[in-house]
Amino acid sequence: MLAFLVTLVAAGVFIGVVITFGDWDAGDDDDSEFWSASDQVAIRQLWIGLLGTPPPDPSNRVADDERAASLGHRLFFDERLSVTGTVACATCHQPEQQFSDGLERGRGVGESGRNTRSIVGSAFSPFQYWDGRRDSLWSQALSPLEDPMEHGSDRMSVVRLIATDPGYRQGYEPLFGPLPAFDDPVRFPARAAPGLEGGVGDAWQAMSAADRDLVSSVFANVGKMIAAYERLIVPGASAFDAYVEAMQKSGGARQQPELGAAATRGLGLFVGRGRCTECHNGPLMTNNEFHNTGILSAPGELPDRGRIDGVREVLANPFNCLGRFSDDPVKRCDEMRYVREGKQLIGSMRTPSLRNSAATAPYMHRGQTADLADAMRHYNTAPDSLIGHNEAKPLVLSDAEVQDLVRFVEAVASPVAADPVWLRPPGLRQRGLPPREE
Amino acid sequence: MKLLRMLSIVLVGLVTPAISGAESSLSAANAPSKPQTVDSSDGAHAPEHHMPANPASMPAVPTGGTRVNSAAQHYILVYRSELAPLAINRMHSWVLMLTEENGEPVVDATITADGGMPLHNHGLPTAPRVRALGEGRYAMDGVRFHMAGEWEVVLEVSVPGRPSDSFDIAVTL
Repeated sequence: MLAFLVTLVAAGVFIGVVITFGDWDAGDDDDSEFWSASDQVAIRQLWIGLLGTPPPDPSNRVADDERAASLGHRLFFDERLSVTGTVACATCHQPEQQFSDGLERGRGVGESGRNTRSIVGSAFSPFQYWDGRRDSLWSQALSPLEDPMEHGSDRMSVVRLIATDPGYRQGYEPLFGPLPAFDDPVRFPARAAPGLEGGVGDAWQAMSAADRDLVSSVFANVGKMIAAYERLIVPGASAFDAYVEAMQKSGGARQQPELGAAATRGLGLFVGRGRCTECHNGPLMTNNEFHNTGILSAPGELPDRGRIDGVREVLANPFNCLGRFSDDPVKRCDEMRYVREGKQLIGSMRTPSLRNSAATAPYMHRGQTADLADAMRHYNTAPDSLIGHNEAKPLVLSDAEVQDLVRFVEAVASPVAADPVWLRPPGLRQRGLPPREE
Repeated sequence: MKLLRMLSIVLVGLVTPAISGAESSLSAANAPSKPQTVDSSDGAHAPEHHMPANPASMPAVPTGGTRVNSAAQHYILVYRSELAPLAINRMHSWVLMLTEENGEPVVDATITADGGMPLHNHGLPTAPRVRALGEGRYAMDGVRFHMAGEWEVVLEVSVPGRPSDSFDIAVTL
């Protein structure tokens, strides 16, 4: 009993000391010359040197085939993959804008429903889109082609382009086998795709099941080639990464020439009281998981249901890893087999990478947040969600601390770590894009 | 600051026995026993990419595992993560060994897994599933933790003709 009382008194003294002198383990408040050991571990976990190569995608047998990447590169910039002949993947995913577009919502044939996500490093994510409604890069790449607001095209038109363009046909057949000509107008109408309006969906329904399958498998291969290209688009090292290396060499010294004082303070907040690494963790600064953080809907719009709808869609999508167009012979597809469903997903969206995020404003799924400081202020106050619940709690950071965090995120900027040839349009017939320098 | 840290370490050392003492008396009465953090010192090599638990490659009893009692003290579980040390954002499996209090293997249990981060009011990012490997061994596949912090994994055990029970496993990343 006496021992217990002594312990109690000691605990009281300890608590008093903590109250008096502040949070004893908060590295970000510490003005010492060196980071604490735990801060060093937390900082190193963000280092790009730990990124490695994208995980294999067994559902795409050409995922790492350079011939496929080369064809995917051409497809990515090809505006003929749209109903108007004016929209390519690169229309919204612009290499000079970190493969995003700087708009609140993507603008293709029309205006898309959400903000354009960068594709830099997207090969590392098990799910694509804000709501994860696709489970691979290749199934994602197919979706905008048939979206009436994006490319507005249809799979019949897309596969006919592959069959009739000599360059595509010559590249396609060694990879996937002989291509049908799709030139019988009775079997293969001008335009056809499931669920589209204006007779396009009806034309699809009128086709035989075997012909529909034939068209869909070539269409799937188009996505697989684009994915092989996108897998090459990964982030490079930033000033922050050079800082991490210097910090490690110096045994954890806080001040390094690679980051200014404000960004260094911001880094301390990032791994500390800012609680940013709860979601923005690992070398891509994202866990690629789904979180409801109380982001308000755009004025006049209903709240976005996010992942709760995305998970239903990915499970039903015929181009998912478990489907018949997947190349995985054993259909392992762990992400699909162990996918989480349920009401906790309401209003949740996939965490974006913070690498190069200073160059991809505006932010959030609807582009509601104009700049990084606004984004930080949102997490600082953590308002209630309109649907579901906000997982985040208010941070109570000062304005100066918010600015420090912004300085840090700005320092995580780098060029894409790919051969520059992949960042320029190939010399295809296109409008509005400069030809590739040969 | 250094002085403050040293002081806090000493004080934590003093406080901890009192807390754990209080907890063991609680658990003897009506609460589940608090397990240790998953032991990562067994030298297991973390695979490059997640592999499903394979009966042939599994040890008979998960060596280096952590032992926990079920909430109502009907069963004992020894569990070990195939990913050691545990890391965030990696899908992996756990090996489980379920026995009666007397050490007899429980071969016909149905085990369901759930969990999350109570302090964040969110669940697990995946829906892990448990399958029997025979002789009281089970594999829990599809486990992933997507942030550092305090997690809990809850295993509900039902056994034909025997009482149902559950394990509440604390995991720190």
